Amino acid sequence: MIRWLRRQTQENRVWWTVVSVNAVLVVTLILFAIR
Amino acid sequence: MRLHPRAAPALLVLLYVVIVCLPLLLSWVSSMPPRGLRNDLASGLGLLAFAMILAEFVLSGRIRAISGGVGLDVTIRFHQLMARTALGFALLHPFMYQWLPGPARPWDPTRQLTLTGDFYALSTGIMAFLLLPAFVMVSMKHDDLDYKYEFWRLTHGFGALVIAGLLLHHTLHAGRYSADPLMVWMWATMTAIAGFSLCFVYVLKPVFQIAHPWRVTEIENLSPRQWGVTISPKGHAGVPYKAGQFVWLNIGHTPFSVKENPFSISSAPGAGNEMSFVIKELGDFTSTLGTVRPGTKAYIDGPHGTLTIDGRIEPGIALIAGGVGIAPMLSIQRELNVTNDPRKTALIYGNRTEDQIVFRDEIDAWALSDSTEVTYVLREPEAGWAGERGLIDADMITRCFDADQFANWLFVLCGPQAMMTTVEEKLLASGVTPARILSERFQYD
Repeated sequence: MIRWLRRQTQENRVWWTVVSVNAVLVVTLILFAIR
Repeated sequence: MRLHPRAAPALLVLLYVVIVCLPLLLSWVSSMPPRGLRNDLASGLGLLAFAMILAEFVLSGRIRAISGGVGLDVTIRFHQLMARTALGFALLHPFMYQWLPGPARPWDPTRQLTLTGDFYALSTGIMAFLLLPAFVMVSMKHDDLDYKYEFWRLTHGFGALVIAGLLLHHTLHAGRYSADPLMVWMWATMTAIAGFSLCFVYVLKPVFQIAHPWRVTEIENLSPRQWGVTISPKGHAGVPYKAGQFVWLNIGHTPFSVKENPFSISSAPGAGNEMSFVIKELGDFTSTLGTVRPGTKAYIDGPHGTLTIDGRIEPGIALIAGGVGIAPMLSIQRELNVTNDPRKTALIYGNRTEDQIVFRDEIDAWALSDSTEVTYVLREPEAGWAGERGLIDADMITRCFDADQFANWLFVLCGPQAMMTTVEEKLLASGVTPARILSERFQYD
């Protein structure tokens, strides 16, 4: 995954980083809500 | 301590996630009992949205400890994209609550079954709820809106501060988890840090600039809409910078003015403590450059940027520039010449018309040496033009470089978005590793 990400353009790398961060935030949010 | 180039982005992203999730995690471990999926989703969305909005201040604060490792253009892009998520979370927040707000109940001290109905506490949330979408929309579309860059910067900073203030009030007075004293301290600290990052740019940096003024020593018209500006430090030794970096430049205004724009340095750091720039008229202050006279006071914030070849050991360097993107390339090539660096370079320089080519004589002189190959590219050439025609695209990159160069050289790109994307995709497809591509997009808002 990280190797694939490194082959992307800079703009795509930022987009995928944002998507990954958002996914982590949503998962944390759900875990908080169902605790 | 200097981080490995690959470790810096990962560490910063991890730090961002931890900081943004901190309110959620503190709420999790607090003594407050849960109050069901929907209501805790709603509270969690609000906590995340506010923490993300506060983090936006730091991301846009030109703080080199943050942007130095990944580039200010990347930091600002991250700031822009995360703002959309924060907006989405903030808009969902009130609609996820399962109950309607009501009066406080004495038998429910932890408000496990109560949503506050206090208008004083809700009103600031409602105001922020209405302001935030307008604020983000205007930010996303500000390039298309007909107002000055300086007005945009001022309203963006002030508007963000107002929204943060409203949200702090709403969070502390309406929030159930945020009523915990530890949470109050955390929000106060986070808001103070956000406010400080704004203060850092608009107050502390200008105070430093007052003590380190510069003076315009030369200004020349390089082409119909491009100017060459040179400044010298006045009463100090200047600032150390690397070839390819940029500064925020303010000419003729007080350092507390927002009339400053980011410009790449075109001079070689090894040539002395003066700084030169190639500036294209794009509206706002840049349109008034013709009226600037030598001797005018100037102030800089910087240097910033990661478009530098310091420490790079590749055997050759390709410099690919579109329009005013030539400025950092001039700096890099000039520095290579000043330091007698023996490495080979290839400059591809694209413009619309021939009269837009700046420093033609100097660049032509480079082309006469064995170490530098120069390719001029014109989109709208006149009859008789002997150079390349069209755009700097994938085909042109294929024609200009061979397999050995793709495998070993460093590629430095600066120019319009479309050119950058096309060239970057082509280089990656040709086997150039991302670590050997340096790029900077000159849109910093």
